[in-house]
Amino acid sequence: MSDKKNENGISRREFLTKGALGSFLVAMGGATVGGFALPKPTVSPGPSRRYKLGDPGKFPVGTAMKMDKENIFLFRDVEGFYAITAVCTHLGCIVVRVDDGFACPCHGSRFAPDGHVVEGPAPRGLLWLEVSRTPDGGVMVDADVEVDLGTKLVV
Amino acid sequence: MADGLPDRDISRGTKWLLLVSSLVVIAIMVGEARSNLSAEWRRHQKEYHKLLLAKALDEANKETARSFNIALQQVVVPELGVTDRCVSCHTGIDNPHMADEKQPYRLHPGTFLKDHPVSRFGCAICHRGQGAAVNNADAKAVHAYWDYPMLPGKMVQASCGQCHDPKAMKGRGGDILARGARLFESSGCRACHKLGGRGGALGIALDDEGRRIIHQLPLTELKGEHTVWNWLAEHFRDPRGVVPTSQMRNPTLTEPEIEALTTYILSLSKLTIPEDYITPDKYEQKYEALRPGRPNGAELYRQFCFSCHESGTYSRWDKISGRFIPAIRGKALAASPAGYLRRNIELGRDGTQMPGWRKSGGGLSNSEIGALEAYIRGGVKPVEMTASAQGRGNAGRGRALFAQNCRGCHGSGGKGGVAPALGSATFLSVASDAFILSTIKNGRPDTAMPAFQRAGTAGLTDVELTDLLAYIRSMK
Repeated sequence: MSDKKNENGISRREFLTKGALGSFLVAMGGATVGGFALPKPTVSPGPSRRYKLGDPGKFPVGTAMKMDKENIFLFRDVEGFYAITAVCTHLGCIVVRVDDGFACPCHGSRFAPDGHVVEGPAPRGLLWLEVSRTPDGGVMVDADVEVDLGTKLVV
Repeated sequence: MADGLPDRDISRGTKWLLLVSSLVVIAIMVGEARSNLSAEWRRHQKEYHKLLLAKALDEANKETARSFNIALQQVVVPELGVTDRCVSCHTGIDNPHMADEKQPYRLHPGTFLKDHPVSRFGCAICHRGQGAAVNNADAKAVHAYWDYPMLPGKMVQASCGQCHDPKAMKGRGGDILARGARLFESSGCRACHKLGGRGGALGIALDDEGRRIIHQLPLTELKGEHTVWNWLAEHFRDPRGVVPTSQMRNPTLTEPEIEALTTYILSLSKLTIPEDYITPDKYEQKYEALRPGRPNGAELYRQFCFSCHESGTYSRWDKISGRFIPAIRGKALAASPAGYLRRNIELGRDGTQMPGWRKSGGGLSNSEIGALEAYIRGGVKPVEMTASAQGRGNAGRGRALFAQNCRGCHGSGGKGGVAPALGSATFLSVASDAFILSTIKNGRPDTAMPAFQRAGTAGLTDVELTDLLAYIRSMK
């Protein structure tokens, strides 16, 4: 086991050391990258919160309805479709639609028609949910995807 | 040098360990990444994406098609315990534009998904199979150790029976199931099998038969595919071909009838389905079972008696059970004393294959047994037997007389043979002395039982009859 050098000038011991360290780093790197995928599961363990609504033609411009089971308000105006959750950001009560926006029956929070807070104790506005097209041409609300206030689906 | 050698060897060994284990980890990671990226579902979704792009004609549809996201899909329905990933490959299952595509991109046929949206039912609740699988072979799970593999197309109707009344499915997409349900009643299955507490005891109760697992069935004689449905079908074609010791009569059905009956048997399940899913017709079926209408004797006879007694007008040797099955209908037979026929139906004949049909046995109500009795009597009034015993008989002498005159048919010791077993507890408790005496004296018309005392011939004397009676009474 002498430090005999080969033609490239690298001894066998050096080669082993470098190879071992190199492959260790590659393995660690790969595992770290893979590890980042772990906190985000591929599929949700609970029931899907994507609600298919079908043909957009069923909702004429001016539609303002509550999806009772899902607790989502669905609107369609000249600009397009948008959905606002009916769950109050304070303690999760279901807000009702009033003339000047939404009101929470539990602690009196009031929201503007676009969902932003007008009066406490709610810490932030009602969430806007993603409305998208399904491959068969229908519309769908995804209650798991929050979008910026004012995002509307143009149909 | 000799001191430094061990140290150097350890570090060299460690380096090798590090190199090899790192390479193994890398190999595993590469393998995982490859199997993930080349997964069957991913391939199908890419193909589906192409189909979407090809079918999108206007700009809006093209935009939707372009934004199609390739990702594993899963339907979770906690109420039904469903976690199905079938939609990962069957992406177009509810997309009307996919009606003419090939599997797995095709739209679900029929209007079933209108009333049964995937989001509320999943897939495996009807089709069975391994819902969490993400490739075709694992999803079907036919030759895997999976309890409920995917049902063949036509037999999916069996699953309707979980929430629907099978008979109500006729014309509603469940014709095969409805036909099977009717065949079950008309083929006399209940003569031996209980379903919902009604039926004989020779065969097993069938309440949960549709949830049977293939590994619970005897497979050594099964010729075709090892699936529950093939087992059932082969069993209906030839019961003893599959289970050599089976006592089941061959139901002699056509192939479509066998398919229908198999589908119906597969529908029998004790699995509890949440109330929200049960349909009004299922409730009506349950209501009818609790509040039956006026019983129909002929129909009851067909369901509960025909399999063994056939028309009931002749005795016959039954090869399968190795016994005579007696005639039970006919003018003279019908003229048995009041109560004799009825109690035989209620209590059965112990020691034979004839079960008791009363509520705690075969599950028939009093009014149903009344209707059966009336049908078997065929309008003939019961006759009171009047022969009376001559004092106390001598059972010893009776025994000798029995050996000479009766044993040939009735067997020794009352065990029965060609003729009924007289030692049966039911018979001894149900038949009155007068009935036994009259029967020996006058015979039993419609059967092979001759008269043993007839005017003008040398028959048994009244004293001898009494001795015989005493001997018969001593059999227990």
